[in-house]
Amino acid sequence: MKAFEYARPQNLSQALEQGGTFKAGGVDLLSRMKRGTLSVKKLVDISALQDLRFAPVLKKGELWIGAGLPLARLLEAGPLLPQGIRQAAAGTATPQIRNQASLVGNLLQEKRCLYLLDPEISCLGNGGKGCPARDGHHAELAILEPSPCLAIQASNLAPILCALDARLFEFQGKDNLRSLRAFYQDWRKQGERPKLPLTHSIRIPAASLRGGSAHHEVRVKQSFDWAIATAAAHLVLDGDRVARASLWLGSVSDIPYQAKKVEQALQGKAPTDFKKALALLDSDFELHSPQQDWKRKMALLCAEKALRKSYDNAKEQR
Amino acid sequence: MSRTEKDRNSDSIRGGFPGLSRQIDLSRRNPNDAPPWSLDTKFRVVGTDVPRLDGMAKATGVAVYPSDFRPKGLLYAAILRSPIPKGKVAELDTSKADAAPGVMAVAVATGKGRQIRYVGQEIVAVAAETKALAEDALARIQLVLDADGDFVADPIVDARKNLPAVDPLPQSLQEAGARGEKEVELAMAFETQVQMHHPLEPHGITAMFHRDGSLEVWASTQGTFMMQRSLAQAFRLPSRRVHVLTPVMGGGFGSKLQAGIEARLCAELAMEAGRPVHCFVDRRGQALAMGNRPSSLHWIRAKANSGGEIVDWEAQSYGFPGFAGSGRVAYPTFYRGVRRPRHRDIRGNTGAARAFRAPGHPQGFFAAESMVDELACRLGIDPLEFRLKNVDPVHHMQLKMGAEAFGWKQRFNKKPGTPDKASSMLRGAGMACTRWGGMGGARARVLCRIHQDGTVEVRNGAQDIGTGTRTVLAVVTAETLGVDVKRIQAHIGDSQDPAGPSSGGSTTTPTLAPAIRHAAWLAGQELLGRVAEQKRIERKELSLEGGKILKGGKPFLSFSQACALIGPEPIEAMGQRYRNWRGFSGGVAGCQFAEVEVDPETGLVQVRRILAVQDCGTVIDKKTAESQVIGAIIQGLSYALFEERLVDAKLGRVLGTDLEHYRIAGSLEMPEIIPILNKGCNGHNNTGAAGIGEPPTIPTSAAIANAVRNAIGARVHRLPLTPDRVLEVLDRVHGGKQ
Ligand SMILES: Cc1cc2nc3c(=O)[nH]c(=O)nc-3n(C[C@H](O)[C@H](O)[C@H](O)COP(=O)(O)OP(=O)(O)OC[C@H]3O[C@@H](n4cnc5c(N)ncnc54)[C@H](O)[C@@H]3O)c2cc1C
Ligand code: SF4
Repeated sequence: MKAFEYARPQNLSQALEQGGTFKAGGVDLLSRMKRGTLSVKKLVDISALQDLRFAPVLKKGELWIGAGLPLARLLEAGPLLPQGIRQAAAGTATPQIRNQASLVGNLLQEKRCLYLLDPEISCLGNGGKGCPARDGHHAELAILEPSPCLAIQASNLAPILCALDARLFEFQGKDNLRSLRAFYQDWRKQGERPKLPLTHSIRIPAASLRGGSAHHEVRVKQSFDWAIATAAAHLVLDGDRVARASLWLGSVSDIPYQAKKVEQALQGKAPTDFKKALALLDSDFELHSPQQDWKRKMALLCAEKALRKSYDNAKEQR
Repeated sequence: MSRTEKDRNSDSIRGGFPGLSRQIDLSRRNPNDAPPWSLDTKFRVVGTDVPRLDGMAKATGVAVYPSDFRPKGLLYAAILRSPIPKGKVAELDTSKADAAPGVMAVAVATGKGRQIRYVGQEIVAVAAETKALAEDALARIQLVLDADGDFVADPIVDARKNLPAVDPLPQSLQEAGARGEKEVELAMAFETQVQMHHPLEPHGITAMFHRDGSLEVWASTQGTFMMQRSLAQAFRLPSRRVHVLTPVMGGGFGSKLQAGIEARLCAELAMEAGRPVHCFVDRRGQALAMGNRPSSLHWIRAKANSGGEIVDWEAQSYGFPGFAGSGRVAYPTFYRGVRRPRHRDIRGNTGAARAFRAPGHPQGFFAAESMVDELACRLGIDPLEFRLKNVDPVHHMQLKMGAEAFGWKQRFNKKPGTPDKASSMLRGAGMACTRWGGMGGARARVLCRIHQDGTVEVRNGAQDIGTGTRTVLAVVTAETLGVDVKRIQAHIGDSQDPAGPSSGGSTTTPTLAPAIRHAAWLAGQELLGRVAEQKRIERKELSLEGGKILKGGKPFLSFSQACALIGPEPIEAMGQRYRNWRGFSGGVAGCQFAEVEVDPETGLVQVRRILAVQDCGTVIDKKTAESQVIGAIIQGLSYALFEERLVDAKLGRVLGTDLEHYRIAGSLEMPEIIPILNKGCNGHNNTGAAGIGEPPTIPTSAAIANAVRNAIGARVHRLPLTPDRVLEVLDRVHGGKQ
């Protein structure tokens, strides 16, 4: 690891004065620094800031969650936490990681590809040319809306928070409430992660707290690993029928993927029609090779299970 | 020697297992050896649960591992590795690195004009005041490589295409099941992956030259004396001038059986800098260059008759060890009819294979035990019954014992491929056998001292790679002298102590235990001599039993009272490791039973339980022996389901070289593991102990694969049994309707 400066502010005003790279749990950041794929001049450790570590609270009808809250602490929240968020946090890796990993750190984790781990490989994913994964190992890479670089965003919390249309609340700037969906879109457009000022919290609008939600995932290995595919659904019901649907998939593209066609097709439908709607998702897959066929099946399975679980959850919520 | 002792030497003891024993001829026994333990010996300490002596120190972080050792003035090394898989070093200029801040020494591993054979090959090592400075200095090395694009990183791809013909894969459950035929002949292919060596403590040493020119080394090694010899040779020193210390170490599965290039470079740097140097490879270096279990391919044609006997067997195997090393495989030839394969190694441009916990065995046993199992499935005979018909008496006994304890009858799925009603999971059970040598016998000496204060000191210079060497020293000494384990101070891992073996081939305990027993026995005899002298009585009136000194068979002195008579000079006895005589058998045997649950929607395999019956001759410490079985099963499960080194064939590079991305089974993957030590006495040395470190990892992957076969109704021919491969088979035989 290269030498770097280090600061650990004890309060917000100190933190806001510091310029540098924020380190929350450091799970993502430090492993990249150790691997030699990231070098940082100055690390500003924000893990001591209690202001960022608050548990979910209802404020003005919205649900606010501290940006720095470790996922393990998120799991301690009561019934005001949507089921989908709980399931996504519970599935993330293993207790050791959940104790360390912060909510916003999880959303901001780098994209994943085995080739990206090797500092000696130059490719589109790190500013170079070409994509060796296409001729090599890409079984776990993008299968929906693939960019030239097939690396994936594998955050567990991202799909559910997108489904719930969460906002990032930042300390600085004029327009300091940023849509998470737009943030990922910008990430895709700019080709690199948009610079974020210190983020205070995640805010879930009141409208998203109605109805039911769920997260489903499939992973090759249950401990210390990322998921192959995840899906998060949020359904608002009108009687037994779907009034509003939101379905987002994770680990399948460079940013969380919104299954818009499925969402539209579900409008006004009963759960018996989920399979039919999901066929529309199936037709959207763009596999680079048959290596990815299992991943495709798992993404479909996750979507179906997330929809069913959120439907059940929505019924319970009434 | 008295007449009676001579008679005893030409005597015999009972060896084997309760119910399956025989008399063992002792005529080849060395007359100076301690009297041997047998199947009839009643033990006090041996075979009980003695907690690992250094367990607490290790668990609480008190133990100082070789990579933790920080002598004054320590420098840190970093290694520059080749970024290309094949070629030549065209230019190499290290002068800028030499002049870089904090750099104290530079050592070249692959100089100008030398060949590069894989990504990760060591080129230059630098020692600097900090690790970061050493790494910075690497960037200043001017290295020009002549890359040769004609490399093969993944030779298994072509070898697959050149295998002899195999039977078409079954397209339905019916095709995969028994077809009521009298005899069955099958031709099938099997494949295993590369498993990486990832001991928790990576390879390396800390080296320092003392003023007198002698070399002191703290090494994470599987052989303190091997390390001593290698470094002595490299630096033209007499062995006694190289002092190797390995008081504890962070694991090794065969890759640390050699003094790697990192050790030589480290000592070179220490010599040049005139200061101690710490050179431990990083995880990436570990993954690229520190060895692996090579991949293998198998083609087997076999035939079984209506009576369930294997009547014909022909096999061809290939191993893919990388640029060097061996990819040979072993088959379970204790089955009647199973024969060794013809074998060929095919080299490629990746890091070399090294010995890996039972080299060649998990590969070969996965293939051959899968074939044996498939013969049974296609004949429609219960795989247990089928094996019982073809196996030797020890395995026969163990299979029956294991099947009973495991509940084979209830757990074996009679309708493979049909989901469990309650859970909608596919359940199945499978088994496989194992055999290994592990009789030990390399030269070893053990020093035993009895002190006036009643403590007993035992010393041997060998290391403990996790099998509990220190504890074995204490248990055998305590048993022999009849005293409490707490009295014993056991010292290991220091090349200035008496010579011991490298820990390879499951031989550490069977090599050391007899020498420990001999040393303790000699020391006990001498204690009696001293007592006789002090008390002015006849030596032959005295005996040592159950920790007491008897006179004419009656209690006379306690052990402490006797020790008090010794005087300030301790009793010192040097035990020998005499040659093995012919024991009950030339190896250890075992079998394992696995129960799995397969999710028909995902293909994910969850192992529910594994039961192992394992023989290791006399069980010295039950706790550490069971730990070996449990650990071996965990590693075998990890091999069966997860571990797989990925190589990009075009780039010639290994992908996922850290522990976050190389999948190894973790806590949530653990089944219930039930180790049953098949207690016996192999009787080939004075303790009857045999090895246990490797044999229980051999059959695990095959047992799991056979259980998956029983669950889903058809076979997955390739390790690891990843969910995509399992689902592919399910979709094929169920027509995608699972
Ligand atoms: C073995 C393993 C398995 C894993 N499995 C999973 C999994 O199954 N699912 C999953 O989702 N993740 C998984 N992860 C990833 C892990 O969850 C993330 O790395 C972690 O959540 C990152 O959080 P952190 O607090 O450690 O972030 P850090 O590493 O500290 O930071 C990550 C990024 O976020 C920025 N940042 C953090 N907080 C703020 C803030 N308040 N304001 C502005 N910027 C900020 C940092 O500057 C940095 O760029 C796994 C990781 C490992 C090592
Ligand atoms: S997907 Fe291709 S371009 Fe992207 S990081 Fe991986 S190898 Fe590089």
